[in-house]
Order: sequence, then structure tokens, then C-alpha cells
Amino acid sequence: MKRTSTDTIRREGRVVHRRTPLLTDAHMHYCPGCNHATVHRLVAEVLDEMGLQADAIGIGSVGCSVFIYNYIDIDWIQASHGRAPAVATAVKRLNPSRLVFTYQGDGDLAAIGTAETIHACNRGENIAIIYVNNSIYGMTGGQMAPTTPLGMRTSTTPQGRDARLHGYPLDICRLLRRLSGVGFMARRRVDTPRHIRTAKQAIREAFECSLAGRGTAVVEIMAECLTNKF
Amino acid sequence: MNQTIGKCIHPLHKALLGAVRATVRCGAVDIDAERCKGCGLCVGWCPAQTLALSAEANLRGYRHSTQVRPRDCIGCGTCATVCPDGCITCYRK
Repeated sequence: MKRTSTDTIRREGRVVHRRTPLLTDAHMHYCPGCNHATVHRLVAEVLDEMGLQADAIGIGSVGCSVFIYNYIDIDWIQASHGRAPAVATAVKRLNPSRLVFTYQGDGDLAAIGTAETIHACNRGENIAIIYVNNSIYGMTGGQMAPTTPLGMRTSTTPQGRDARLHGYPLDICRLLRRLSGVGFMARRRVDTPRHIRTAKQAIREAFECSLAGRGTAVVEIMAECLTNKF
Repeated sequence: MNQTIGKCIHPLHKALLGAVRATVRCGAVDIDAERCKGCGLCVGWCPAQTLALSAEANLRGYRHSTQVRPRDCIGCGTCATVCPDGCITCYRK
């Protein structure tokens, strides 16, 4: 078989993967290899494929992902710490035809914003929640969070989390799945190419569930903080 | 995660890739070197081992990913799938 030059492949071949136009040219501030950047890219790709750039409203949260409005070219509202589901409720009720989703970390959703999350899911608001769970407070130096698994070493639990001393971890998805208002729930991870593809599929299904009005859609994405790894 | 990198390909897959590689050049990638942060995920996951980190740093001080064996690229898109910053465009014939 005849060999083809690389330039010919670029010119005549099909594009397998390219940077989605929804991602802005801004340089992401995340550490090298951060899972947040991967999830940003997945969200942008799904919005692009569903043609929702003009119809999506994202609610940003506080944490490492606080500058998400710089990176994805859609409408954004920056909520107070933990209050993204409450803001999303208002936005969705005022704009029922728009896709409204929140992008939150575990310190935001499962610690300070637990009440807002549970009540939004219990009411069955037609919003999508992208929940990136890295099990620690990554931005402030890797301290133990409510979601930290037992035995995991963090900067404030150098011997590992001990249930007698620090209590048990909070599994927010196990809590939420008992609520009738939740229409879609998935837990995915983004550590391998295959898992990245399934995570993207879950984000797409969550957005479709939210648009169809079937209740709150929650996608928990298990991530890891590479900088604060012990 | 680092333990799984490099073990991602089945031996049969590897043999198949070798056969494909020997006959036809079917893929190409473009890497945005200035956007790359040198996390090395694409280097670890590339099934044909065509990528490596460069010797010199880019403007931000990162050793960026670069294609050292372009002839071996099979255009599978794995590097672009794992790239957190979306630096990679992948083509296939």
C-alpha cells in the first residue's frame, strides 16, 4: 500500500478530534493534567454537539472552577459559595425553555451547599448539576472535605481519615437517589479515554433529561487533585 | 492512574498496530505547543507511542508534548480525547 505524507492526511483526511469552538482562547489556569479542564472540555463539546450555545445558561460555583466563565463561551452567572442550585432554580423558572446547568465541586455542592443541593433535587427543578468530586478542598491546599473517603491522606489528615476522629464520608449521590425529584443520576470518572467518553455521554443525557423536564439531572464525576496528592 | 498508563493496550492489539504501521501511514496530529502544559497524559496513552515531551520548554515554561514518530501515528484520537486543555487536533485518512 502506498504511504501518504502527513500533510496530505491533514489536507484530505477527516478530523477525528478538534478543539471545540465553544472553548475560548483563554489559557486555563488549572494545574497540568487537572480533571477540571477535561470536564470543561466535555461540557463544551456536548453543548456544541447539541447546538445549545445560544440557549444554555451555566451557573458557576466557587472553588478551582470559579473562572469557568472565562473558558466556555456561553452565558454564565457566578453564584455565591454553594448557592448555585438556588440560582439555577430562579434562572430556570424565569427561562423554562433554556438549558440551565450548574458546575460545582465537592466543597461547593457537598459541603457548604448541601442544603441547596438537596432541596433543589427534592423539588425536582429541571436543572442539570455537573458535580466534580475530587474528595478534597483542592484550591485551599488539599484539606479534608466531607467527601474524603476513609483512609485517604490529606494535608489535614496526614494519617488518613479516621471515622472515630473525623466522622464518615458523605456520599451525596446515595443521599440524592432517594429523592423523587431526581430524573437522572450518573457517577462517572475521567481517568481513561474510555471513561472520558462515557462521562461525555452521561453529561449529554443529563442535559437531555433537563431539557425534557424529567426532573433534576445529576452527574457526579470522580476526579483527582494531582497537586494535592499525598 | 500512572500505573495503568502504558498497560492500556492488549498484546493482540499491539501486533495489529504493528502490522498496520508497517504498511500504511494513516494519521496525523497537530499539537498547540503554547497551550500545552506538559501533563504527559497523551504521551502515556498513545497506543502507538508516537508522542513524547519536548526537550525545550514553551513560553510558559512547560515541556510540551510533541510527535517524535509521526510515521507511526494511526489517527485514533486517543491523545485528543485525554488532553485536558484541548491542544490536540487529530486527523485520519
